[in-house]
Amino acid sequence: MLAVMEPPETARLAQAAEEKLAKTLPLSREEQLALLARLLAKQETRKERRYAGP
Amino acid sequence: MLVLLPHNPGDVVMALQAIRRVKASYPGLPVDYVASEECRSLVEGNPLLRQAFVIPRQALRARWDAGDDAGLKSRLEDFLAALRATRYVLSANLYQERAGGLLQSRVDAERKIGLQFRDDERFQIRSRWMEHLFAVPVDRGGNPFHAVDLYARAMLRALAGTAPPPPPTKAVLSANVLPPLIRPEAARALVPGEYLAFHPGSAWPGKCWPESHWTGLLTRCARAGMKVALTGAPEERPLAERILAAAPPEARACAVDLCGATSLLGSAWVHAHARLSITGDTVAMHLAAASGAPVLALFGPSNPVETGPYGRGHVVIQTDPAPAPDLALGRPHAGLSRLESGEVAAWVLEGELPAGFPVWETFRDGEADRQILIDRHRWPHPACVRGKALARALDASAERPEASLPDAPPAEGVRADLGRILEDGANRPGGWTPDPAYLARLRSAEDALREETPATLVWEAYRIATNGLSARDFSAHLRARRERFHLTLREEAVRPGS
Repeated sequence: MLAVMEPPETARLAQAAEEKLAKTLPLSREEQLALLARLLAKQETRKERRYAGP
Repeated sequence: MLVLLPHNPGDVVMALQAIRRVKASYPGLPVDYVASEECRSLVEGNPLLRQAFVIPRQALRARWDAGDDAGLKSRLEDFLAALRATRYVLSANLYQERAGGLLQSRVDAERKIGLQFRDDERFQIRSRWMEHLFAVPVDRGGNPFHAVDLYARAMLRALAGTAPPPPPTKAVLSANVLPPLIRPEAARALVPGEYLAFHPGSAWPGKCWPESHWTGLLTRCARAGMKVALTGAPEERPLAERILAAAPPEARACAVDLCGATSLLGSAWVHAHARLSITGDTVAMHLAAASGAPVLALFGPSNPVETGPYGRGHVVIQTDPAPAPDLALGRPHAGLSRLESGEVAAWVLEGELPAGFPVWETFRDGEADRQILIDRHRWPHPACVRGKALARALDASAERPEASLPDAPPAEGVRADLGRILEDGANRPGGWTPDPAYLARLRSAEDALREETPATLVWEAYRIATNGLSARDFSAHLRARRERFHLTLREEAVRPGS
């Protein structure tokens, strides 16, 4: 039997925001916050890894 | 004023150079800055800035990875609250990614320029100059503006409104762009002004000059009696080791390998005190230029007009006269490979120009308040010549669009078609819902115009601007679109093909 993991709330809202953005629908403030959290938390540039340091 | 451009380090240095230009006209203006953790050292303690907000990305990432929703939201809201504690005269988002647009929407400012998420529904770019910045990829090689000048113009115009900005003061124009530089311990052996600084690496393969060429340059410079310091990020140590290992022992003896041994500002010290800094289009190039050290920049896929060393008297060897829109940074660049080490050494040691590649010097066009590139006969780079009229047109339309541009000639062909369709829709009553036939006509006319103007900066700026217009009230949307359409026709009349 497969266990299905529900994504955390922020990840779910961020995904919903991405889908809505693709359709250019309005985003709620909560969805905007979730999308921003995902973009800031997950975005990692190559240079950032280079110079991030301890 | 608040400025958002969190990374990469080279971009942050360029933003700081633009802030210096703005402060030269507004010396008393306090400036705050939003940076990434990686760029913290460039902004904290910087004499140009009042305070820096550092995005707590590592803390956010840890909470995201742990699925800690409450902690993630709370940490982000703390950061946004700190940002929102000040009401700014201007918030300038120079960051071209969505995170910047969402951040900008949370800032409290009388005026905002750059990307912003608006009305809960769309990203919009405010400022003619920022629209132009976003339009640059369509005609990368034809862009006549340096990024620093675009940033500075956008901020100056926003601060000055319809009046011209106050003239710059020389005292601020010569101020330091970087925080105070301290000699790194590993660089004790270097005598300021008596060594060459090489920065051979880059995060992008396309910007890297082949390592065998660096070895060749090192060898030739060492034979001429020069000392050489190598800098780079920690992960570039193997690159520096390979460059040195391939050199003869007498050349190795003249080299000081500082790769991975200094911080970002430590590297800046090394380049700032070099007789000449030799690098690709890298952060080291921007650090050296920002500290006033002479630079020889070896350009591959990127456009030196747009992101070359900023400041007077630097030299660029351009190996690609037609930069690709996406810059193709991910693969080694054929032009850079063709530029032989002997040719670069001949320029460094003898002042002899390389064959087959244009060599440009950075020059300040004081009248137009922008950097241009000139050749040894003082003839400007073709893109800079082409852009002079565009610069005037954008300046004029940013100040007084109704009065400062000539009338456009009567529109013909697809322009006339689109004009009629916009006119038709713009005159409908408020709350009008367009029928599918109207939308099809509009789409078809816009597509035809796009086909006819595939790589023109002013029409790309039109597309960017209209894409950001709200469509909640469609006739209001069409009135704004019509206005922007006619402005673009007038700009096109000033400089066809720009």
